[in-house]
Amino acid sequence: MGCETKVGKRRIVLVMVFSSNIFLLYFLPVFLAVYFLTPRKARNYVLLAASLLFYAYGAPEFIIQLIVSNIANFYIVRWMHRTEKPKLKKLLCGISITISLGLLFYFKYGNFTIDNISIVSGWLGLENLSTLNSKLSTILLPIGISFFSFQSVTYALDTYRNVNRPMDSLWDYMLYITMFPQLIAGPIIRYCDIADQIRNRESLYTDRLHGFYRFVIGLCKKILIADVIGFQVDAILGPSNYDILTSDQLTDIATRIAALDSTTAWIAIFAFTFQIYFDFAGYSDMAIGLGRMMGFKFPENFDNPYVSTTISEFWRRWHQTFSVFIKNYLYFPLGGSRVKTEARKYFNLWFCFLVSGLWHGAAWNFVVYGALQGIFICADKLFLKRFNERLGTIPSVFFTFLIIVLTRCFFRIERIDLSWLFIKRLFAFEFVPFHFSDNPHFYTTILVAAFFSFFTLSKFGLRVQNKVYFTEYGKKQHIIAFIVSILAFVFCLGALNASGFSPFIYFRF
Amino acid sequence: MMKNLTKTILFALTAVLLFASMSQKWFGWPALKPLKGVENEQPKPVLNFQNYVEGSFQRQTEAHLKQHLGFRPTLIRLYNQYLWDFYGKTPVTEGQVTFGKDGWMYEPWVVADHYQRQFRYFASDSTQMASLLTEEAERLLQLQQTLESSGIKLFVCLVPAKDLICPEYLPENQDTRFDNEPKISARFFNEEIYTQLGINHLNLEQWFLQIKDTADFMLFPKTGTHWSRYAALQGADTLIRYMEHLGDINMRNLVIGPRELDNARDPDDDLESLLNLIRPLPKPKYYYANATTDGDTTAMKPKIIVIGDSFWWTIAAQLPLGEIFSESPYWYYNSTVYYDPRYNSVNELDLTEELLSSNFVVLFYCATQQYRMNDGFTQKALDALVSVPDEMAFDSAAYIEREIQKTIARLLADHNSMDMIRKKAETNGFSIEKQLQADAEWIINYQILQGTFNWPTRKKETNTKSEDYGIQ
Repeated sequence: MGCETKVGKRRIVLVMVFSSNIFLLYFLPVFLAVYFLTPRKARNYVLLAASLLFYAYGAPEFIIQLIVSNIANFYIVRWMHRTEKPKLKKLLCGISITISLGLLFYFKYGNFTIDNISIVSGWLGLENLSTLNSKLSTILLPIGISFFSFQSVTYALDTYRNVNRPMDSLWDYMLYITMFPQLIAGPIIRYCDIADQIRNRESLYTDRLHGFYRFVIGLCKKILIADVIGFQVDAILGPSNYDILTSDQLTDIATRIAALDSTTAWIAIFAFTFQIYFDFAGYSDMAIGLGRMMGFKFPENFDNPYVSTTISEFWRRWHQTFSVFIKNYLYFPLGGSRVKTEARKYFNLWFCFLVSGLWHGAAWNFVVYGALQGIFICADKLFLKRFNERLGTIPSVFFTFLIIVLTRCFFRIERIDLSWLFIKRLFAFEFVPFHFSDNPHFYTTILVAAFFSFFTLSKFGLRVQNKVYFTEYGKKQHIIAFIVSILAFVFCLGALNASGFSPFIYFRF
Repeated sequence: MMKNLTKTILFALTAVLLFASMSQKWFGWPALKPLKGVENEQPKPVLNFQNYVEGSFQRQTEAHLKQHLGFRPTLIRLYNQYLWDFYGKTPVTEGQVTFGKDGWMYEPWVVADHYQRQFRYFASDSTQMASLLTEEAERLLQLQQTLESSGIKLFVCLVPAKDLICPEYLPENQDTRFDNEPKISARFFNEEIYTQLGINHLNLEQWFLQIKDTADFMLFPKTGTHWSRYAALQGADTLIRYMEHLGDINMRNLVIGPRELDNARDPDDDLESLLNLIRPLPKPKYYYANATTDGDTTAMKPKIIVIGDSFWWTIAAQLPLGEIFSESPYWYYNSTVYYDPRYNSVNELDLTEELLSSNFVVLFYCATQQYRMNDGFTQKALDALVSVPDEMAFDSAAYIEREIQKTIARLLADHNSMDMIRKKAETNGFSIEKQLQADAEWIINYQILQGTFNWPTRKKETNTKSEDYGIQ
């Protein structure tokens, strides 16, 4: 479960994660037992109560804010739907979106904005403004706000556009926003995709089993791959989330990066590229699996992104629900590709990626990350895609992957100067001999991660994936999948609890 | 229908298995073999509004659950076995066990001491370490003389360490950070200064080195950190003879019975047991024997007080202590009291009374533990036995503050400690500086509470210089 921590200038709230003992061995079994023993009509209430408990346990300071903003949004959108006056409709829609995005902006970007205002005002000699940042420096970041804010926006806009009727019940709306499987890290579920399932869904035994298998696949991705790789990446590059680090820690990170040889630097960034995929995709798998156990069909979030032959394709395969959100709720409103000039079209594209970069975190490195992605997307449209087509599938996959790896430097190292320093170490060509035996667990895990990342490049891999993920199992397959899932689940619990278990022989005083 | 039944059963089994850990914890069934080793107990937090909002309740709950999970030993052993089989490591090998050649195991600080860098955990440089060791030796001499005047013999027993006796299996030196600095090894330094000052001491390590090539039994086990149980018996026999010689008395002789070869018995595989694997590792068989005495009724049964580390366990567990000694209390790290039902802690007892009622006081530490300065026993005993004139009173607060600063300096110089401090700072929400200060204060306070704090020597200044004792 979670807690709040303040080390540097910023505090963040940590929450109950799926890969924790308290979730896996206490929350989940009790929840599933109560949920399935409850009559169908009352299950949404059980799920809502569990979701609020899930959030309240980790982030008690924000539960009231979450509930109040939800209630306000629900009634505003209902009023918007009922009114016949177009201007009032538009105004109410704007208010609802402002509440959702306003909270997101305040909590996530408040510090970032004030920091930058104070820097600029310091340059201009405006002392009053330059001291503002100290007043806002302890804003807590409610976990999951980036996700549930977007879902509130889709609710308001889908209703405004008459794609769906608003929810009749406040409880159903609360459930849509706070449903615990997707509350913390998505997938971002559009209202139109789930409205009917909230009102009426069926949870067959086959769904419950498939959901459990999918959950375990995600758990394995997270614990057996992402966490193992992440531990070593942190050992090389220092901890991430620079917002909560002290100046000493940042100095230490800078020293580490400056001292890196090129071999270690390349290993670290390749490893991180796999870590972030297996971490995020694993969490999405767990969310989708949990949803399916309850009869929900959450949208897929990842589709083998590292086999992409172009950057455009990569963004169609990576964090798909976010890409869909940006496309529908930002790119299209900006005019999309139906604009007067080519320059505007490319600007729209680039701007969407700039915003998406900033969505990942309130720091300039994420802005650079987004801007770079936008540049590559535009380059794709202009010439890169044609170039990749001429290269052939395998070289273009490799080339695209390399671009992703390099841009990840700005994602992992959350200060531009340090990201740049790191890139210089990559290309310093100070290579040292590589020994697999130095850390076989780490390197083996990278190889496993690479294998599964590129597995679907082959037709066989695709067939296996479709069989495992998207095919209904027969009796025998269910039995095999069940046994494998239980063994994998136990193994993950072992990994989770063995890590850090390093006792002494005797007490030493 | 049949298909649905299968799915229903499988889902029901899933639900049951999800509850398995919880039920094992609650009902204690099935009983599991506990994990080997000692870890700090994570207390169960009590919920209140403050700790809930601050998040400390959730954090402590997670830590407590992790330690008290149903099926925890099985889960950990299972994963450790996988790590061991595939990668030749477990989490414990990162910090508690170092692997040498041919599967031999050592404690990391034993290896560190072999390459003469352990002193950096206790002092900022070799000069300071020499100075500290010299001061302790002088205290020892004073205590020896004080006790001698009451007819009590104090002596130091330098217990053999695995690195010196079995260096052929040691790993290469991996940590070269201090290679260019002057070095010091407490075991050699102490041997020399004890001889020079005339401090009673029995160097079992030197004796082990002498018999190593001729002994037909293993002096140290392959996967243990202590001397082998059989070697410990030989050591005990020598110890008794030394006491007879030192005290000029006749004690009962140790009779070591016929020996038999057997699989490793505790603690001959104590390092291996820390790995917490499912399957034992391949290793040789060791000799074991029962020890009795000759039953000489005319022999003296002295009272011995042992202040020392875990090496004494291997003797105490095998010897008929009651037949050899009238009493043999064991002050483990000068902290916990064993073999004396009256006390649990050294802090509870009347030190003067205990010391003056004994015949022998032995400081029984492994050669690689000589940096611990007998865990403050010497100073504490001197304080108890020698009255301190008022003019020698000193500013204890200022002294403690200086010691805290020294501890901070030591922690800063040690990368492993700093890594731990960084993690703790992150967990506790402290700055590194604050965590460092807090840890240093905790260490000093703990030493004071445990009576192991090195208060300054309250006696005349000495002109002895560390350089006189041949620092390398």
